[in-house]
Amino acid sequence: MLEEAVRIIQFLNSKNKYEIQELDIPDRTDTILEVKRVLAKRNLMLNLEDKYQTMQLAVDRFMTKFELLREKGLPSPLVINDKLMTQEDYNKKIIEVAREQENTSSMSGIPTGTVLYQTFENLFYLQHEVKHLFINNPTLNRQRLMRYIGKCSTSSY
Amino acid sequence: MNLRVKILEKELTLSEPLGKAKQLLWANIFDSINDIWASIHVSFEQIALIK
Repeated sequence: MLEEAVRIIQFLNSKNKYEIQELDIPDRTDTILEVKRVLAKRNLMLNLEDKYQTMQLAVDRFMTKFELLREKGLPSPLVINDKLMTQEDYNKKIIEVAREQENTSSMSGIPTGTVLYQTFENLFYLQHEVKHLFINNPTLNRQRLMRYIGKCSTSSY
Repeated sequence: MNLRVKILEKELTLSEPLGKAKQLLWANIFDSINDIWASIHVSFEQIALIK
């Protein structure tokens, strides 16, 4: 499509006024501008698609890791409609879960290394993995992205 | 003597040290979560945008 559009522009530029009239093209400048607008929009859409793919990968990776942490006992940070609760509320929730576990501490069998490890296995896992939840900390300039999406959707032909 | 040992055995449980160990591990988890909360927040914004 890109090559085709470039060829159209080159073709229109190479023709004189009479040849253009013969092709039933009323306004060469207008037609070239229109082709250029389509090209610009296409590039914007491709960039947006790339950005979306990168974000989707990061989101999938995050959700997979977080789900594992939840299975090991980390409380869910979600409220209704899959929204993230406030940090303050989540802190309260963690403290609540920690107190609950602290008060119900018991061990089955004699306290050998293996038994001790099994008792704390999930917490050791959480302690280690929470630190590695992100390989690179995600960044998102929401306003810039929304402006970008808006630009793509309002580009006219 | 046997009776005293039995009483001691009854009183000596691991629940307190286990509770303390759990408390320590949860404190570490709590700190880590707070350190990365901004990143978790960004991730949820991304999820909301993609949805």
